[in-house]
Amino acid sequence: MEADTTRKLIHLSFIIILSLPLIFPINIPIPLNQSTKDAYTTVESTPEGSIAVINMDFSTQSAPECYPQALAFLKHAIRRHFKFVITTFESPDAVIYAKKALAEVDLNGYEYGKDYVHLGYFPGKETSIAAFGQNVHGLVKTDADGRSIEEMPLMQQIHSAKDISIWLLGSYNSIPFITQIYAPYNAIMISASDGSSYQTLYTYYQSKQLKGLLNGARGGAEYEDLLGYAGQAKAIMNIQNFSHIFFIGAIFIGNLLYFRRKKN
Amino acid sequence: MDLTLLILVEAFCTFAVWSYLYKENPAYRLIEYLFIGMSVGHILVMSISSIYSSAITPLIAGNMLYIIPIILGLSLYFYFSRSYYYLYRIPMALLVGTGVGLGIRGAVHSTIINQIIANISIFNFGMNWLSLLKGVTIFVGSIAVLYYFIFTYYIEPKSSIKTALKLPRYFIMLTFGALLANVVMVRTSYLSGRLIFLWTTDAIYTIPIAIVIFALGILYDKGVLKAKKK
Repeated sequence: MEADTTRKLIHLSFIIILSLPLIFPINIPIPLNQSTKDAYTTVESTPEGSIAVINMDFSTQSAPECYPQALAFLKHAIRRHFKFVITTFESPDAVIYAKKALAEVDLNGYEYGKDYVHLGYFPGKETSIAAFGQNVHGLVKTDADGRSIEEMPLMQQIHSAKDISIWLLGSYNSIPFITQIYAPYNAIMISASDGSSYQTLYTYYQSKQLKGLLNGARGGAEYEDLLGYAGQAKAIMNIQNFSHIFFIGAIFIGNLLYFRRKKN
Repeated sequence: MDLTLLILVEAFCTFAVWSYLYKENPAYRLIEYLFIGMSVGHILVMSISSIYSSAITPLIAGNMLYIIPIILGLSLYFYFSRSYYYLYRIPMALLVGTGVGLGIRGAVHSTIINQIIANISIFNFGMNWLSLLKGVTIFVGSIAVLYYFIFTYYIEPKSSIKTALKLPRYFIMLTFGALLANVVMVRTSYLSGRLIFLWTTDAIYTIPIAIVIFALGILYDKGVLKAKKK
């Protein structure tokens, strides 16, 4: 068989095999990681009614991994009756997902401006994060929909990073927050990650600068388990388990064919 | 946009991108250009609206100090002028200076001091043996890999410790292996996101249509349909 045809067949069978858990749903249990447990415990140990920043920073490409984690953070914040602001510093795409998340959760008992505010996107990345930590009102003038924040009761309570009790970072790259917010203000933060940034962020969790850390879709699924609902991360993990079986099978068959060809 | 139409567009985009797995084609190229154009357009609109709310609005309200960042920002466009290129250097110097200053402020504390403290504190014998093993591995790995990247001087090692010096290489290979495995998992997650959309929404009805279109496309490409026409 030609190499090109084999490649196409592998792609096709990969898509078919990954569709199986969606056609025949199964629920494979996921062991709980300590870093996810720590993230959950940190939120639980923060007093009810505290002020939280939920940062949503991920592009459309990384949304399948990062959005379920950010959504889980948002749901947990609401369950703990936190007052919260939603921010975006790196990926403007995330503003759309933040609005989607707000539409998806039950905000019964929450009043916009008083209990939560969606601040939208600020360009400048690390510089903006530092400015936000130093003087919120110096950087932010309006919310995501262009309304002035000066009259909002919640924003009158937030002037700098010192007024924030907990930072829930639903982003793939939380390092600028660690360097600009944790270091100067000793802030309490937990973070999401995508699978490729987990290793880098783990060093900050290991050094206790992050109080908890979720490992991509797996971390999201674990957090969904802890919150007691099955969301998109859980569905992704079911598919990923099938993908692992596929990869192991493909590696085994590939090696078998290689050694057989070598022998001949 | 109507929800059904939105789902149809999303499904079409997904299948058009997947069609690249067969070969590059006009449908894939259309979606590729559309995606890049929309992303750039979205970033542009968000950035302009942010500049408007954080700089133009206060300026109109009478805070004249905001004229300074606006002028500095506009000066960046002197990059395209040979005669006034030197003016571009002023905001650029400020940007680099601020960036480096901010970077150093946080990096020294978070990336150097705290990481060293974390590495030292693994010698906490109150932990269980598994945590201790993990801690020792991190400590030995950190020292070994740091040693591997010291290029300022070189002493020819004795043959007996030459084997031991391969240790950093193994740590680096293990790290790269884990990184690559995670990247594969990330990519699978992206694909999973699309599959969940296709199988759990009304987009499921587009799957048989897409299969038929794919099949016809492949037959056309192989010349089967053309031959019949003749």
